[in-house]
Amino acid sequence: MAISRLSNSRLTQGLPKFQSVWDRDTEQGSMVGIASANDGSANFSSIPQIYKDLYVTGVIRGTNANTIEYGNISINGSSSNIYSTTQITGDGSTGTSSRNTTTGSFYLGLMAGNNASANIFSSYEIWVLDYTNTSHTKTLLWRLAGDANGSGVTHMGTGQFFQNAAVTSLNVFGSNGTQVGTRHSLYGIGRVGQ
Amino acid sequence: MSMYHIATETRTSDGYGFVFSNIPQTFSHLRIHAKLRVTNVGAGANTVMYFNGDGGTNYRVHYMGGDGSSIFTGDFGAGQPFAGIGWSGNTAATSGLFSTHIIDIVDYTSSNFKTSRSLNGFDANNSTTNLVGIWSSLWKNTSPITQIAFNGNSYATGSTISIYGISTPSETGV
Repeated sequence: MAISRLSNSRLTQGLPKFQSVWDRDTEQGSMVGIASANDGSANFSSIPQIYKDLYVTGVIRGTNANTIEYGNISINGSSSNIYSTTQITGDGSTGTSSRNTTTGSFYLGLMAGNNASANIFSSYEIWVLDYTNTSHTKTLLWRLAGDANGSGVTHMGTGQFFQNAAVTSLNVFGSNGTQVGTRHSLYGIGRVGQ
Repeated sequence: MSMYHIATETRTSDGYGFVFSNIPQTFSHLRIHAKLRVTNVGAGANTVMYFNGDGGTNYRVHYMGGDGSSIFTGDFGAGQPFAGIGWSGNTAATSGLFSTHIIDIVDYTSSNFKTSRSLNGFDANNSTTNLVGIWSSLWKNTSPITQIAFNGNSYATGSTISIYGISTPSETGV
């Protein structure tokens, strides 16, 4: 960010709110972009430990030879059986609730697969609150819009990661990969200690 | 859209609390992030909030959720004394388990009634109490929201609530 012609007196008195001060580059407010990943798994690593919460959003399509397939979320690179998920799912005719316990990742929901019509991607968002806290396990909350134009689901899930470690990496992925056009964005919200 | 931090409170001991007063009236919407664990009621307890100190029968609450085996929906009925924000685990649940609540209050300064919404869930890693769902609450009052209290439950140490203001370009000037 480049700001020119600021005098000491102006700094002491505080800057007036001028539209032209913002360089349209510096992050505004309490939701800050950390990283993005395209055309593959999210694989967000070395997540800064300075924010209060994390928010991840994206569009995703898997490579399995199915119209819809399972999406997954993992924390800190762990594939150990230390995840548990509870979810609700609607497929256009029936609503269901189910659980996946003692698994190697969270179950994101049914997303578009390789056999879905061209250009169809599923949309998701994930919240991880108090991700730097090391005194308790982590509860994630997410939802997935997996409409494949004739099949697919709308889905909401929550899950517990059975470790007290701070979240330093997070992955969103298909069982056998994700297609070109997949997009993931990671944001930090708030600040530790606020 | 930009989010701006307004306030955060964290329980340093078990107890009631979480009252946010003098909420700035300069934003378009409010977003609330809550990580909660109740201590005064059973697992799967309903957690609530109050606007402007109103504990009268001026709210209505609907929800839709699932417990891992069935999906359900409900209406608390007319004349509720609180707005609902979802379910939470309690101290009988898995050690260290907290629920997550993402709450939106759109157009909180308007002179119309206010409808809040909440996405919520927790998984206790057991077969008895695991809940996920969406909540909506109507507050039949035309006053701008200047105070939000989450003091209808006692919360465990480590429970934390943050309030953010959501602005639009007309407020930020960009």
